[in-house]
Amino acid sequence: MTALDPAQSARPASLSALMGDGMSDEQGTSLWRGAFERLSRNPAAIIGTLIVLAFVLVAIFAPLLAPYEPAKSQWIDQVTPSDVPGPSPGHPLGLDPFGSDLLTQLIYGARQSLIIGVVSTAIGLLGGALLGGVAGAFGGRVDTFVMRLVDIMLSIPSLLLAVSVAAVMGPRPGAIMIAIAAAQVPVFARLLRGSMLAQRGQDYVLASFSLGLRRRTVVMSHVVPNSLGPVIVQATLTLATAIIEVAALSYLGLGASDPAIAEWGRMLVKAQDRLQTDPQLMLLPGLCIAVTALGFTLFGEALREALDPKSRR
Amino acid sequence: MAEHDRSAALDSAAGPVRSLLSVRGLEVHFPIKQGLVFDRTVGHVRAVDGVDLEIPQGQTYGLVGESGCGKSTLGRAVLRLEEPTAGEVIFDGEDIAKLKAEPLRKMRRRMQMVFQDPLASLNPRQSVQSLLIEPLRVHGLAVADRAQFGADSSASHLAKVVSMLELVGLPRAALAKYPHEFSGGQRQRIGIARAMILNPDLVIADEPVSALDVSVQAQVINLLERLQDLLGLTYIVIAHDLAVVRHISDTIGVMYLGRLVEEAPSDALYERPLHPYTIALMSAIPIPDPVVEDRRERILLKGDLPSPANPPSGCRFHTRCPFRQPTRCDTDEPALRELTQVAPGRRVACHYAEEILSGEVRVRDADLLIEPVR
Ligand SMILES: Nc1ncnc2c1ncn2[C@@H]1O[C@H](COP(=O)(O)OP(=O)(O)OP(=O)(O)O)[C@@H](O)[C@H]1O
Ligand code: SF4
Ligand SMILES: [Mg+2]
Repeated sequence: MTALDPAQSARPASLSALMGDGMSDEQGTSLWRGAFERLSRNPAAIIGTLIVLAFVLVAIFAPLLAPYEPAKSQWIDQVTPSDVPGPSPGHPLGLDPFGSDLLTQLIYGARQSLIIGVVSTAIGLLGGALLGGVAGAFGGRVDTFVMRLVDIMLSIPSLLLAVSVAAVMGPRPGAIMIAIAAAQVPVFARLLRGSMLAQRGQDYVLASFSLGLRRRTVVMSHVVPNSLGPVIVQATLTLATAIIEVAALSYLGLGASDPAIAEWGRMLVKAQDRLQTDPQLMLLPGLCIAVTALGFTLFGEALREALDPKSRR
Repeated sequence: MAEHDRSAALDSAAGPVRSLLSVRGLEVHFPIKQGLVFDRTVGHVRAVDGVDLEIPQGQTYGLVGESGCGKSTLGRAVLRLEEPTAGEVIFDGEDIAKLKAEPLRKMRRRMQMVFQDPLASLNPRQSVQSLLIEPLRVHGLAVADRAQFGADSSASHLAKVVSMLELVGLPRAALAKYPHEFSGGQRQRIGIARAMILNPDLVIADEPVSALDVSVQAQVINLLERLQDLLGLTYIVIAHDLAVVRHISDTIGVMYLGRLVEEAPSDALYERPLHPYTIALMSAIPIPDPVVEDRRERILLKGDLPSPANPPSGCRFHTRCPFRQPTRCDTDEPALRELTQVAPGRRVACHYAEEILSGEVRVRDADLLIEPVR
């Protein structure tokens, strides 16, 4: 009633009063830019980003940073069954059980972890996005069929799935990545499909149809981009899990065949019988895994928060 | 003769008006599914259950009714954003309900929708510029705009977008902004600009102001009216209360449980509602004059809207009707019929409409009255 009060409708809408003061700057803030601004104000996000950045830089520039060549066992003669040489001027962190420089091995380990983490997550994301995207875009029977398949995959514990795939594939180079990716496929599929379904019910999708956009355009340029937020967050979190899972699979002896190759998980395994005499052999790679995983988790959680529509306004 | 009377009531002085939209026997039923692995249909929600209406070119049809009575579904079915279960939607001589995908997509430029929640109806990742240019990319400039803006090109599209923005009262600086940066009223202006940019003939506004602050509701309604005059639009304006549509509508249709129960020229309806449901709705609107407000009888609607999956027998309103009579009401379904004798040009779906008008049938159930306060 008040809405149509004549006194109100007679009042001319003053444009300046209508626009508020936020309208003066010419550039708008997109969702991603807004998310970035929120991230840069969040301490957890900053710590996470720094860790991730450090990890990535170390992985990329490993050859420049590492004092020696990796996995060459140059000093194998100094390693005895009862003792691995500790820190010395030539080797700041000492040697590893195979007679290579421990610092070098750790640095190259970052590279290995990054490659395995990124490649396996990328494969998992691709596979999951494909399945979830098809289910979400077509709906109906296709959706039912694909999602039942995904449910079956999900019902197998992820590590068990990864172990089985790794065991079946044998000690091939890519085996561990595919094994980890296989465990991630259903997670991504479910996430993207759920996210797409939620978006499809939104008014802006209906608005796109009512404007006469083609179905393909609506799905590809409206539904999918808006559904990706949670998937990207999940991918960051998955990188952390992937790094831990690499370690776990290596620990179970399902990693690459050459034991001397620098990889944090395997370094952990090979050090366990020397825990009493040389605890640093286990502690240092363990610390690397923990810190890196923490970095990705912090970053992913902060990203999730920044992209959350409720935190926006 | 009756036919003549009715159109005379609808016409302005200008003579017979062409009907732009006519809806006949429209039904939209949603299946209710159950089952864990395989879905079974266990019933239907009869969201729209047999609606006939006719809207002349250039007029505004106000559609009101309680939440859940099927207004949005009716609006969407008219635009075929929802598949009708049965019935015809004749828009400018063509049955929208039977169009194939591609002709329908082409036809969409002529029928647009303004949504209730402006934020939800705008893609959060698109800037205003991209939101407004998108429809032009799909359909090209309207023929009427070619003279002013030239042939389709990015430049002519942008020029049209800027002029549209101005028309709805937003500054050029809004182009680079994103929906979440605006206030509710501004967002609805963007939604309106987007609906109007293709120069449509028919615009369905589904509760265009109910999500907005009371202070900006009138501005948005005024904007809609101004655009109608300027662009010669035909409107269906949906609202859940009569107050919002009163001034903007030529004709008002009142919906209850998926059906029209009363339809009348706006002023006539306000002066004298005939269907008991309309009478009850009207009595819920406060009257500014305190003396009149205190004296009049107020009718309280008892209970909730019955489930549209299982509408009451006979008259759908009989479970809540304060005028309910012992005969016919719970057994025969009243048709929406024109009261040719007593109120030409008005359609009412009540067996006792004439008697209610003449005062022979009065409120029976004393509980339903809030006695006037002295
Ligand atoms: N997609 C759907 N599937 C199943 N039922 C639906 C669907 N859409 C609407 N309904 C049901 O149809 C009925 C009418 O809904 P509709 O949204 O048209 O009502 P409305 O009059 O617009 O109400 P409101 O004022 O709340 O917007 C409701 O009972 C609703 O639950
Ligand atoms: S037909 Fe009967 S129940 Fe229905 S509105 Fe009229 S009086 Fe009420
Ligand atoms: Mg509605």
